[in-house]
Amino acid sequence: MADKFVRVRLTRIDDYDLNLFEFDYDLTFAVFFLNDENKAYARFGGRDAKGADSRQSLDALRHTMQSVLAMHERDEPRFAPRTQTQRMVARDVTGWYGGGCMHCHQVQEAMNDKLVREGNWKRDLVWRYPLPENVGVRLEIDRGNVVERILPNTPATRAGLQPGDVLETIGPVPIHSFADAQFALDKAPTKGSLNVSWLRGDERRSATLDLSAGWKKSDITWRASVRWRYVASLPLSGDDLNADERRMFGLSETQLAFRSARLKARANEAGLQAGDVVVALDDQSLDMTASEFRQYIRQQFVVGDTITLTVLRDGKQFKIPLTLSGQ
Amino acid sequence: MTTRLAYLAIVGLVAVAGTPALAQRPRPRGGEQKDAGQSGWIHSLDEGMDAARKTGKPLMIVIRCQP
Repeated sequence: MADKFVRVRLTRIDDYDLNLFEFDYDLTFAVFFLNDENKAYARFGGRDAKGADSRQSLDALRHTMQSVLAMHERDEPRFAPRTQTQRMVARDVTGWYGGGCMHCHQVQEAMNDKLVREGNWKRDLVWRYPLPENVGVRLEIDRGNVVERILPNTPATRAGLQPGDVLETIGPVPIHSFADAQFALDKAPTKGSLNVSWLRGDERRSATLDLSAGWKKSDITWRASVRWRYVASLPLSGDDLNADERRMFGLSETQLAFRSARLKARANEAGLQAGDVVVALDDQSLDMTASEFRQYIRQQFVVGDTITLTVLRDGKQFKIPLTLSGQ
Repeated sequence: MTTRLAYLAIVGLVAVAGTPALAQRPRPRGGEQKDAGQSGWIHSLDEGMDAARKTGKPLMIVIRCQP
């Protein structure tokens, strides 16, 4: 099947137009499918926090290639829209004129820096290329535009999507692959609605996904472009209470309850003390260990967010606001 | 990322080069189909575009750092 394509391999993107090659720059592998007029049929690639290969397979690539060929044959093929029309060269964006290899994530870092400098940075921009699960869709690995399952009580549930449905479009983006879905979701609003269309058998259906604030939030701890600057770190750690201590405090066996032992300056400044027993976050009791809680903070919050920890101290309960910083 | 898959993809693409496509055969748009080099991979976007115009084939462009 590869012979049905003109195959190009690029090992540097320094001089190429990022408005054409717009993808998740925290990846270092991506495939684009274009026509001979620089119009994009599809993208292939993508990953999640579990690993670089977690959402890809050779069968998935083959499936995308077949889907692109079918689109190429149409009398009126559909293409993915470009975000901007103005040419934007990677080398100019990053200021990287050295002879060494420019990493893709540096492109995203440079773009983020530019937004900060120009006063256009928004907290939501930390979460780029959301997973389809963020709207309730789990896509098959080997057929990246086919719904494997629908997560309960999600926008996808309310839209009526079902396993086996073949996504056609999300917003204005034709969907041939998992990467296309991520690209479409990246362009979607941070709150509002998003049109989606799909095939169920021969029947074409469409609906609207309702997107609530924060829907793009995902684990960014693997993303080189943002993790050093934006991944939040809990400035304290400690040991989980044992069963006897939990009984004494009237706490369940599974809920969050750890005794603060190692506090950084920021925790002390916020008013936390060694020995405080942390039992809740933002008035919510959580079923997790101290270790899981630290990871939860890293995944759910970003630098600059303020959380409120509920702690037990000397038989009293205190609620202590804490603004998170990086590592 | 994707060290393993990127390697497999490139090797795999060579392997599936002769696999019959389930999709329809691309419409010729002038010119003979001709691979650039023994491997069939082109390392220049401009040359790839030229080849796409001559053959009527879509382009598949792999972006991957030199391992």
